[in-house]
Formats: sequence, structure tokens, C-alpha cells
Amino acid sequence: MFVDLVELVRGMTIIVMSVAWFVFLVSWAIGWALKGSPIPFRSMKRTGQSLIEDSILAAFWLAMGTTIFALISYITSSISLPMPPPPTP
Amino acid sequence: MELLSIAYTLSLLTYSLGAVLYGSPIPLKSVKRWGILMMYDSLASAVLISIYSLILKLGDYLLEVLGVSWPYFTAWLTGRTASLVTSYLALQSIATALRASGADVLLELVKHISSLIATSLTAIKMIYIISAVVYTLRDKILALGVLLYSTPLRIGKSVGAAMIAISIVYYVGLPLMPSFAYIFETPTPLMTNDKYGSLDGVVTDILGKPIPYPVVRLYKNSRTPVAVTVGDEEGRFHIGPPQSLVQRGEIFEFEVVFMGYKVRPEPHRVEVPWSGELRVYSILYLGEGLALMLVGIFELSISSNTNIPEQIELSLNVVGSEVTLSFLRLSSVNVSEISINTEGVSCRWDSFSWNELEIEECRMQLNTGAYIIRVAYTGASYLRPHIDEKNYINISDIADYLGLVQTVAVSYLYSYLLLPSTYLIALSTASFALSRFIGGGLRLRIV
Repeated sequence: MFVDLVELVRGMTIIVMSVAWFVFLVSWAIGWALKGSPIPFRSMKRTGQSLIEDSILAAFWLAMGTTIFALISYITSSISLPMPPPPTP
Repeated sequence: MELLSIAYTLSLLTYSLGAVLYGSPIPLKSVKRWGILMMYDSLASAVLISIYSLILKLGDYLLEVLGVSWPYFTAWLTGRTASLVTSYLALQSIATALRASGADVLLELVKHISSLIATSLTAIKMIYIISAVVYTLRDKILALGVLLYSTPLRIGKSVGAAMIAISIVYYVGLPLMPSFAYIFETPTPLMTNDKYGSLDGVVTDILGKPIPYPVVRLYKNSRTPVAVTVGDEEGRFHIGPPQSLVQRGEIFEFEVVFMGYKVRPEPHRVEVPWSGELRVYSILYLGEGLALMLVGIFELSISSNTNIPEQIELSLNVVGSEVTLSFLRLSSVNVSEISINTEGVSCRWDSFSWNELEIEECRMQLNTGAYIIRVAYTGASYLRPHIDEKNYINISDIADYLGLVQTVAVSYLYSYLLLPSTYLIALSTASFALSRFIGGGLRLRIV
């Protein structure tokens, strides 16, 4: 049962990840579209710029995700070495 | 652990969901914030999952540093429970003694004190249950807390943080309770305190052999005994709490009754507390329901123990002018031969009844001289006489005692209910603070 649950959550994660790549592409495209549109509104151009930045950053962090998790595991496993003996007064 | 693997995959899911929200083409600040927040949360839960075994080890390490342990704590709890139960039983026996003596007015006070002690007992039991749950289930509580913590969208984050905090704080904090209690509680006087002592002894015959089921009577300035008790098979008797309340410094006189004969033991007058041997210099218990009663001045020794069981040879040296010698036997004992200086003696056994024991007696007189007495018999086990025991309770004094016991019970309530509750509240506060730290304070600045 637990294995099923783990598999389910893992499958969902894979789906969400593939959706995420698609969403980044979309928002990157929209961002460029807004930024490069011939509408002379400053705010619209800024929104487009921030969309581009966010999509690139999100894509970067998503790509780095497994690396970050692995890093956390590595760091915590290296500090969970045997404890030093308690100090004696 | 399956829970941990689910938690790990859940935190990965949360991370990717957060990334989706962060990179989505919705130009709303709140959506982006949620995305970042979810990424933070997933990293925090990943850290917690990875240090799961470290947290478990940390608890043990902290216990080691603090110099406390769970077995010690459990022993402390059981010791306290035992002392409470002892007090409760002592009170019950006082109540029984009071009911028997008709002093019903004091019974209400006893009931009140009993309810105080029962409340303390319930409190101790509650602590016992909590500590048992924490001790046996702490790894499961921690794993469940981590799982709840890593659910997406912060559904179970605060509950998970609270469970993690409880599993750490209670595991380290509960064994510290004895130290906390020692600091704050006043030393509780014991229920059987210095005011009352006891008379403990063993009744022995001329040669120092214990007499079975001796009836021990206690006198105090009167002809009627103030206390009557029957010793056990080995002659041991106990007059004192909880059955009798004899005050320290009181002087009593002993009397021993055995097989229908009242005799004065040595020592005769004793002061409470006393424990020792109560020697009767006129009875020789041969064993298996046969005894010898001697009155006069004499020297006695068992000269030879023949190999045949239940055959005894005594050498008696009568120093005074005359010694009265009585054989006492239960009616079920069969004496096949009595001989004095190898001359057979025929006995006339006079029977009488004493407290539902049928006893037969053969009496003879011996003049000055040395005698060898040989007895052969088939014995029977000596039975406990049916005697109404009488406990010594000084009613005018017991009210003071109960007042004292009431103070003790109130102090029990203080140190078993109030102090542990305060301590548990302190632990809960600490858990709450830690859960706030875990649930809200673990923020990693990554973007």
C-alpha cells in the first residue's frame, strides 16, 4: 500500500514537472511577446520582463531541484556522524 | 521507513508545484509568492526528512548530556506509585480499625484523605500513560509529523511541526521530571512516621527454638490485654502500623499464651520501638504438636538426638527442691513412650479444649537430681488457634495522627498532581515554541 502511494506521488511529480516545462515555455513566450509588442506602455513591458525572468529562474530551480535535494541529503548525512561523548563536569 | 519515503516524494511534488506556480504566466504577485513559499517548504521538509535519524539520536544524546535516563524515570514513577499505594492501604487499615472500634466520626476524615490520595494516584497514572506513549511511539510520532509537515500547500504543516516538537521535547523533558520535583517539593514525611513505632519479635522456647503460632498479649497498666496477636508458624509477630498504632516511648508488658498456658516471657517490659527475641523459659517445644512445660529451678539440654525421627532424649538436672513437668500434646499426636531414667512412665492424659484446639496434658513432679527423659511420638502439625486478634488504637491520639496524615496527603497532592502538571505545562510550552520555530522559522533564502 505504501509502495503504491509512493508510486502515485512520484507519478504525479513527473506529470507536474512536464507540465512545468511547458508552462515555463509558455510564460517565456508570453513574456517576450509582451516585451516586444508595439504597445507603448511601460508597465506592460515591465510585466513582460518579469515574466521572462521568473520563467527562467523557475526553470533553473526546477532543473536544480534534484541536485538541491541530493545536496541536502549529503550535508545532513555528513553531520549525522557519531556524536562526540558528552562533556564531563 | 515507508512514511519517510512518502514524505520525501511529497516534498519533491511540493517543490515542482512551487516551481510551476513561480514560473506560470499569471502576472500576479501573490501567485509567485506562493510558488516561492512552497519551494521553501519542500526544502525545509527535505532537511527534516534527512535528519530524521539525527533527531532521534539527538534526543538520546541530550539525555546522556543531562545525565538522566528513561529506566531511572520509570523507576521513580513506580516508586512513587508504590509509596502512594502503601499510604492508601495504611489508611484503609486505619479505617477498618476505626470501624471496628466504633469511632465513626473519624471515618469521614479518613475518607477525605483517601480521596486526596486517590486523586494523586490518578495523576501519577496519567503521567505514566503519557510517558509510555512518548517512549514507545516517539519515532512513529516523529515520522508522522515529518509526513504531515511535507504535505503540499501547508495543509498539515503546523500539526506536523507540533508532533515533531512533542516527540523531541517530551522525550528529553519527561525524564527530567524527577530533578524538577526534587527542587520544588518539600520532603514528604512518610505515612508511618516517627511518632509510631512497632514491636516485632520472635517467640522462642528454653533452647531458643521458635514456638509456632504463639498468642502474644500486650498489657498496659491494666489486667485486660490492650492488644492480642497470633504469631506465624516461625513464631514471628508484629504489633504496629498499620494494624496497631503504638506510640514511641510507650511501655508495654508482654504475655505469651501457648497450648493453654499463660507464661511470662523475657523481656517482660519493653519500650516502643522494640524488636528481638521473646524467650519463654518454661516451655520446650519438641515439635509436631508436642511441648514440655517446666516449672521450677533446673538445667535442661537435649542430650542426644537419636537418628529415629520423633524420638528425643533430654537430660534434666533439677536444682531446686522440685520441678513440675507437663507434657502437652494435641489430641491428634500419639505419644508411644515416655521413659525417665530408662523406666517407662504411664501417663494419665487430661484433655481440655483451648480455642478450638483439643489439648491433652500429662503432669508429673520430679525431685532434686539428674534425669534422662526419653520421648517417642508420632506428631501432627500444630494448628493456628482461633483467637480474635485485638489491635491497639488510642482513639484520642488517632485524631492527631489523622491530622498529620492529612497534611501528608495534601503534600502528596502538591508533589504528585500540581508539580507534574506544572511541569507538563512547561513542556507543552516548550514544544509549542519549538513547533513555531520548525513551522515558521525554517526559512532558507534561495531566491
